[in-house]
Amino acid sequence: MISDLSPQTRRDLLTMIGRAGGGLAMYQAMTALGHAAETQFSGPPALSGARAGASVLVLGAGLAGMLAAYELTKAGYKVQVLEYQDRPGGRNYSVRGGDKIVEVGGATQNVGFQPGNYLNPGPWRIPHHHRTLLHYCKAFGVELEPFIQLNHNAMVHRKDAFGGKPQRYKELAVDFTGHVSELLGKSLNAGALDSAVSKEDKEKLIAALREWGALDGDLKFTSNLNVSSRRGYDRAPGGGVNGAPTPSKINGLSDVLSSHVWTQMSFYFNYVMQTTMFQPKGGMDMIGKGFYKQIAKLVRLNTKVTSIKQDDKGVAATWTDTVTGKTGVATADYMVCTLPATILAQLDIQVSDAKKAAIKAIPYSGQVKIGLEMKSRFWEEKYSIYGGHSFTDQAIGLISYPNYDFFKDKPAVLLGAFANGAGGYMLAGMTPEKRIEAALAQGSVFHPEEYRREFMNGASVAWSRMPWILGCCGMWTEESRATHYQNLVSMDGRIVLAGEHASYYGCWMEGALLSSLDAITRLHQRALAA
Amino acid sequence: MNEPIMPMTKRDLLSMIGTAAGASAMYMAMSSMDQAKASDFKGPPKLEGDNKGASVLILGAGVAGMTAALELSRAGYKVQVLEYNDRVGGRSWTLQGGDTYTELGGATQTCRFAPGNYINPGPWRIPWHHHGLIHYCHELGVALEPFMQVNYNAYVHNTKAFGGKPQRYRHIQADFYGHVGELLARSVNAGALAQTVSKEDGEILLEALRSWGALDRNMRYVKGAASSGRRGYDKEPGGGLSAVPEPSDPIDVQTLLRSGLWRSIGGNLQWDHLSTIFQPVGGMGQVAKGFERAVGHMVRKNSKVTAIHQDEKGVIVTYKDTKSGAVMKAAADYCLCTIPLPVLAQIEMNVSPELDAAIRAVPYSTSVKVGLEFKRRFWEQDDQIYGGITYTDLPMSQISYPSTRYGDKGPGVLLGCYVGGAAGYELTASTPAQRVEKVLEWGSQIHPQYRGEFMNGVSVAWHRVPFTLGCFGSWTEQTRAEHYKNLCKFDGRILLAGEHASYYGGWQEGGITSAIDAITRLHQRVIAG
Repeated sequence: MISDLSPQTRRDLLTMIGRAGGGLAMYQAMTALGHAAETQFSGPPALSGARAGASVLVLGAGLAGMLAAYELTKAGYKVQVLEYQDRPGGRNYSVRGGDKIVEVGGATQNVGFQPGNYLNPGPWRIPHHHRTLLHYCKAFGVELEPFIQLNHNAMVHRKDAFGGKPQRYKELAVDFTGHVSELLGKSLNAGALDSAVSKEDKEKLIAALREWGALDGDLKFTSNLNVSSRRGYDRAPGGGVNGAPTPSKINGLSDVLSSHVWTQMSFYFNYVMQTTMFQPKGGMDMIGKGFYKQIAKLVRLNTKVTSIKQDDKGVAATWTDTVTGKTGVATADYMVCTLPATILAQLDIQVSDAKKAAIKAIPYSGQVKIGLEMKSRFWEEKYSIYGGHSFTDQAIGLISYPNYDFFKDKPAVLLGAFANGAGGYMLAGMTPEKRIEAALAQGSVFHPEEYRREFMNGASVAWSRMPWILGCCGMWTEESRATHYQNLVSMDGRIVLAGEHASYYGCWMEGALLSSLDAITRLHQRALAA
Repeated sequence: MNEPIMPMTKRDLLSMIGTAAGASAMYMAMSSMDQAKASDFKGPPKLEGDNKGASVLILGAGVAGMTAALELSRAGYKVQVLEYNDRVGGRSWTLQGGDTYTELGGATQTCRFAPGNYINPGPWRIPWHHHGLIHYCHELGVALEPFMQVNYNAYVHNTKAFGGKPQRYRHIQADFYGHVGELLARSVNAGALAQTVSKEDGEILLEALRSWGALDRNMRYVKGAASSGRRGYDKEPGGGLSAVPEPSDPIDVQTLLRSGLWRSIGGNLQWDHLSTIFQPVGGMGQVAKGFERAVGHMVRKNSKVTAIHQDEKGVIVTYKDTKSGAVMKAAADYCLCTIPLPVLAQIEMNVSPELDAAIRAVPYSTSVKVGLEFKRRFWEQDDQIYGGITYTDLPMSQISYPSTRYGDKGPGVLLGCYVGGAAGYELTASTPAQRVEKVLEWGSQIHPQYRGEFMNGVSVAWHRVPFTLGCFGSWTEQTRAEHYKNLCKFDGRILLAGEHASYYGGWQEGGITSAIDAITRLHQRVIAG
């Protein structure tokens, strides 16, 4: 990628190429010049020419492990995959009616959702720029549909704002924008920024603030029909003789600030949260199933790895079959280990001290998700909320409305909690029954009349209590990255680690896939060089 | 509906209720006082009482006419509908492969899109608060899917900025917010707003600006993790050894302001464009088909109304069968007329001078849409744009990418032009072939793939559409004040309905709420008479 061309220069160059080679050449040149470059994914790895009989043992049949198995097989390696659970996918996981969730401590939930309804306890949305994931979804025929990330009509709740009454996001967001614009306009007019902004730019900025902030002729943010055409009306425009709309009343600056709505606005502005976002039709585990279809015959399920050894000839993993109790040893020339660091830290593994230290240096987060099945989609019928999230400062963090089966007259599962941090630990410390009760009590703040009345059943996944991972995802800090990251991802003898924890896209499937591609590319180079 | 209550008053009231009756009572009170109301639609009309066997002749089988037919027939009225076109739906219309369309002037286009591809020449999106339309879609089995309105990865484009190179929406939004945040923070810190903002609010505001504007610790919007977390990176975060992301360079405030591109991020803040927003699966014509399933048997197509006459006994409408040329008459006790005003103004009709003046007082907007079919979805495959809209100062104004069949490997259709005003008139004056050619020329400046991938195109210039002669009624404050009530009020036995008889001009919701208002008044008149 050429990064030192200014736009003008680059365009001149493109024009020249265009003249010389026609449109197609120009387009190819544009791609090569980084016009569209926005990922480290540059297509599936072109690995080929593995040495005859070379073999790789992959630990873990999550997305990172299955991708490694798929691409290494294509490159000519003999691959075997060991998976602890009775299903592939790992955190790429959907919970449906009839499923059983067993936690550390023994609590067992039998999920009672109706057919077609599901909860994605782990990843649940795909940004448009996670191109590795999109590439393999397309390659494996996994159908995607829009995930409604931004819903202006969903709600924002904070216990100490607006007397505890949830507000519609659009009203607070418009009011925040309006007040910010008015204040900045006032500062500019008072000359407070004359040293920072030229006279010409000042005029342009004031024009921009008026338009963008919906300010009136005096650069004030007031209640009027123009502002209502952003935040909604008191009486919406209608038809016939009484069709004229009436404006809604804006909130004052102090109230808007007390709502902390900017935290939601910032959330939606985040690069990884920006629309367009997708979800797989039918549940997130359709992706895992898509991968599994390609490599199912290479995978041994119900296989718990107990130790990992290596010497100058190869690698060996000792395992126990969790159903039959049978034990065995799997061997290969090389290993891609995608076990979560939490599990790996408890295994007897023969790697350098630096890598051992790195494995132990990554704490895992403890999110909790709770699915609540409701008799009807009252949030659509009564509140006009179609998908998206209502945020709260209570432990549940948010409730999120399903992005499939819109308008259907049948039970639906909403996400009743996506708890992080302290809220996550609080909910994880409860029994599954108490978690549901907490989710109902807290979520009722948004839908007080319907929440308990429409409730049918619920299911929760507290990631810190999932026996096969003991956490949700790796939590790196700048300091731990500096000390340990390179040690974690470096090839250690014949072993290389992969997974979201071995990426800068922590907690995202894209991170697991990019990490896996990087790991197998290095493994392949090493194997060819050997 | 109550008069609006001041927020402080409402809060005081709520805390009083809370103190008196506990939290549960408070929540109940909150729901019943729900602040911002959405559409005027309050459910289908309840037309109860003896209609005395009255009959209603409805002119026009668009969304307004068919809503009226559905509800009036349900209430026991004898209903007949006359429709000029050979299809129902009016502007609620989808063009797909095999469709033929002849515009005023005689030019005929045959749409050659591949199966499954389409454009909606008229309405194309349904906001979540258009309760009337959503109600009927649900009732009539019209499946809806999300319409992608805001796409941060689509382009904003000004031919006179950035050397004409399109910019990603996310870059412009992040940088505009960042610079606004930094400048306002500077003012707050310099005490410039001390008289307006209390010390406590000022502190919260700074915290807010840091988060909202992605400012750094020094309250500056600069290249770094915070700004790239919004606008995207030069090198994305990756996996394994070379995973470290490289931040991207924000655009400086001067370049940004002078580009004018901040203007393009405002449109998505409009009430009618807020998310969640929908489209019918398979095209807007599915709305028409849904209504047709319910009321199609009452509709006589290919019937061109030539005269509307009323007296104290009833209404007689003269119409011509456009296929056979036969001239016929239809009679009823009342007439609900949904014919667009430019057409109605040319029909002989005995109504009051006030209504006659109102009919002639509303000009119709111009609007041109051009659908282009390409061999592949290069906007997804090359540009990572899945649905959403690119805005440009080029004459075609925008490019909208299909919000359906994402990732499809076959040919795709995008909306290559949606424009009114001067450019709209210019395109309307062109031939269909010229329109497509111009739109290709303009669009190539944003997507150089255009020429190489182009297959075929189709255009609708609304001022040349024979059944409306314009896109929708353009009211001004002045014309509203002078003519709106006259347009909507009962004139003898004739009542008008349609988006032009609403405050939701240009939206199907206006047609529906207008029709419900009209038939409710008609029913009251019948009951009272």
